[in-house]
Amino acid sequence: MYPEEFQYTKDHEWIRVDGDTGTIGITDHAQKELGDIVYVELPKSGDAVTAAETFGTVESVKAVSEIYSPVTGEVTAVNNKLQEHPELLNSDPHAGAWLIRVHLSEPQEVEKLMSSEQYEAYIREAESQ
Amino acid sequence: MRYLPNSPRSRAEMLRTLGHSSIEELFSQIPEQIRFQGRLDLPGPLSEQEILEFFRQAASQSTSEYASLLGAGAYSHFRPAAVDALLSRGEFFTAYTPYQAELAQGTLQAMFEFQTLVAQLTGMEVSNASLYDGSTATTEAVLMALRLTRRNRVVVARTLHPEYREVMATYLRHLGTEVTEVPYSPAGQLDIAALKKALTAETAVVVVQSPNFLGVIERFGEVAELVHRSGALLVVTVTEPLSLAVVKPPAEADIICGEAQSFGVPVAFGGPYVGFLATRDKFVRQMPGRLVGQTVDTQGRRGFVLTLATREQHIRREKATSNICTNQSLCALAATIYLCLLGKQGLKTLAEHNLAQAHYAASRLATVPGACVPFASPFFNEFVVKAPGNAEVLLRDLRQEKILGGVNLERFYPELRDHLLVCVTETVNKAALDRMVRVYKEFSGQKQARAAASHPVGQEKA
Amino acid sequence: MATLAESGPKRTALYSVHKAAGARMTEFGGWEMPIEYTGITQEHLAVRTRAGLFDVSHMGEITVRGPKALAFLQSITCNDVSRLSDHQAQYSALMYSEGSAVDDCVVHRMGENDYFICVNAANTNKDFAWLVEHNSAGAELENVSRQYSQLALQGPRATAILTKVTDADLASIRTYWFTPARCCGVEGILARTGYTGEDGFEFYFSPEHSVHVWSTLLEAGKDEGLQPAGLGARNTLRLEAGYALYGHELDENTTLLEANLGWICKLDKGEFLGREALLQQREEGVRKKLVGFEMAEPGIARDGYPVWIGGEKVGQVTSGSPAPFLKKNIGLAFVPPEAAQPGYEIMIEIRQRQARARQVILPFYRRPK
Repeated sequence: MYPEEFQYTKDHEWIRVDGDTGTIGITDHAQKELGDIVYVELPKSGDAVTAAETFGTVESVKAVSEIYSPVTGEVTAVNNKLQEHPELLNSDPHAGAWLIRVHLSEPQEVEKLMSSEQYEAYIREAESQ
Repeated sequence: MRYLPNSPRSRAEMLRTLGHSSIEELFSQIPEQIRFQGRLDLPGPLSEQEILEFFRQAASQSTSEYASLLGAGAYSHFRPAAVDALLSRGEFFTAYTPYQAELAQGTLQAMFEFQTLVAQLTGMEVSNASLYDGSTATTEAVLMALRLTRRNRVVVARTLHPEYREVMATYLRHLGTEVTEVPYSPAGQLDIAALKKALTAETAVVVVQSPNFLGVIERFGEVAELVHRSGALLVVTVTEPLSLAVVKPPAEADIICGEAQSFGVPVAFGGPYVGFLATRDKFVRQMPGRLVGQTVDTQGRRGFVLTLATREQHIRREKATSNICTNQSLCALAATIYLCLLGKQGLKTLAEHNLAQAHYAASRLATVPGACVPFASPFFNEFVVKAPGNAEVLLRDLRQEKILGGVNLERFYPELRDHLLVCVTETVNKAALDRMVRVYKEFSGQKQARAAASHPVGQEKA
Repeated sequence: MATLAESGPKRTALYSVHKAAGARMTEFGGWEMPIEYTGITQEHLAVRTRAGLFDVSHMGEITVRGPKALAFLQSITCNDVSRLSDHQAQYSALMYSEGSAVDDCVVHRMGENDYFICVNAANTNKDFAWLVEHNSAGAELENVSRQYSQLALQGPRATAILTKVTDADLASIRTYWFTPARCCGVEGILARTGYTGEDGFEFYFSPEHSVHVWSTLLEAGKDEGLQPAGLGARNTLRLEAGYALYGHELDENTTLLEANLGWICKLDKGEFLGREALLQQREEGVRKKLVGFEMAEPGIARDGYPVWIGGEKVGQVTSGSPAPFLKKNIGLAFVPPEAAQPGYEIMIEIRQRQARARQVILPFYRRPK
């Protein structure tokens, strides 16, 4: 269910690392929790992001959620489709609705993140509470 | 001092005293090769009747049938008859420059009163006896600030009158001065974040207009603090000084300057107008323009003189505070008469009337489908309206109803396409305003009908 | 009707039905209620285009009876109760002497000397205590909330669906009128009232029939596309319709005039609590004005976001959210009265930035005739 090539955070973001570039998005669990997503606020290319700090927001009809960066680095690309079609985050959170691409300045940060197996266990536990 | 032309006899006497027999001999020092030869290409003289006929024809092309909602730096206000009646007194109308105080007490006192009124309206400590107009007054304020701070960077609000900015650019072009423009915020006021970025240790002055060109009244608390903290001076330009009767002028400003045409000076196709400049006592020695002071004569009687003349051209040449060594005496006098006629209470009542009329117009226009009043900020008698369609077409429709509907802002601010700057003074009556709203509604209705016709299934969203 | 889950929020009789249907639950006014079943947007659109069914059993019901009932209600509410005929209802408010509302409510006249008031869930106890405290007239008051479940069936197909399960002549019940009726075989009160801006009914009945009535209605509406709708959609629907929510547009610091509810204040009906204050405010002017706005640039205004005009913070958003049917982002806010003008802009502070919004004429949505 959760792609093995991704790594995951406790705040339900995923990152796919290719060399020193990371592609970041929110997980299927996150989009389910949020409900219908109607608006996304993202940084611009060139902006800096810091691990564990917010870099944008995702809004559903009822709520605003902050998105936390799994890594530190510089934004190299932003998924512009999401301005017009925020609902992509509900239908395709792991592929078509990636949020940003980042050039990693501290690649070793990724080691602290969860694997897909660990993430699945994490959300199973959260749901049972 | 009254102007009296020379008679042939006094001319002959003057020539005799100089030892010349003719005027040509007086000019004999001018080299032959640079003298103009032949006749000037001008039509011949006309009789009094022909001249009157000529001007009557020219005037008939103008009309006062139209209700004018044009502002943008020149404001249509009612001029009481007393203004022209007093202005055309010979002592004032053809008075010479007041450098001989003993012959010019009337002029000097009138200018002193003008200075006093400007100081009272702006809340500043000292004012000069007027400058040419608002654009040069603003530029002179900038030059003054450059001298005072000995820095050479200027920051200007993009909402300073576009033509004032052009005049300023002309003046500063050869001074090696860098001018940075600060944009307006979505609410139409000066963008504070952008101002912060624009201020450097080399900034001499920041110029902000209020109400600004978009009609928006600026807030100065934070702006003044930022400007002063960086060691620069704050110049506030006022193109519609009637606003000062209801909007508190910013006490934090170092120089308040602008255009006094609203006070008794006709719009008159763009001029002559009258600029004003007021500042704090501590800056007076760098202030340009004439300054009238009150003093006593040898017999202890009150008198008036031009003072602090060492600032001026005829004493200091290139070190003078300005190349301008005159004022707009007659227009400044018109402003003085006007302000004295209205008085403090009358001016306030007039300003409140302007405010009410403009807000009535704006509130009615705002409800026309497809129109809105952008810029979430207070305004005085001028405001921006987003037209419910093509602004040029709307203006044409309004002209057909004998209404000059406003200034199409696109030519000054390309991002404000189809936005009109609308000014409502006491010269527009309610019937005309209601007529204007009707034209807007019809224009909007036609646009909706056209859109619906081309999309039979869809629905036009207002 | 309330069952207690150990200690903690109250639950309606349909709690387990909602859970079984996969509803996401939330705490609201001391009750655990369904926020959404299949999604707020979807439920909202269902109500606007077909029909939705809401469990609103958390709402409170208070009866006011006896020979002093009318006089008492006249003194404590702002609307004119004497205008009501039997089986007629009116939107009204319980008043403070300052001209503000203890709660907004719907007053129903069962008959002479027999009224009941439907009040907000969060305020039921407060309202009842207030009524008791001011009952110098000597009316007979009873908090009968536990004796009622309440369901709301709302939408253009509501009448068509309801007609299958009731003998009541629905066409003869005008808006804001009601009738005792059997619905799904259960006795109750059927009122043509609602909080969504659509045509629809609210049914008050004894709680032991809750599951039966709920499922019977859903079955009857299956072919019409009826679906359950939660509090999330209830909020977005009422916002589009421009209706106030107590605690947002109304509270003890807001007079009815400021909240645009002057139309339910019948100042010449005679003395009532708060009348003086309202008269005075009508003379002197309100301190703030409630306006509707829509965003003029990308961004969503939310409850509590500050409103700025001319570089000054002047008020705040009382309710703000996306409007699923209108496909805009809308909201209600209090602004200084001189700034209240449809077509004028205001700035909404959304986290670090200020976004442009335009005032509009209320309501945002009016159902087609």
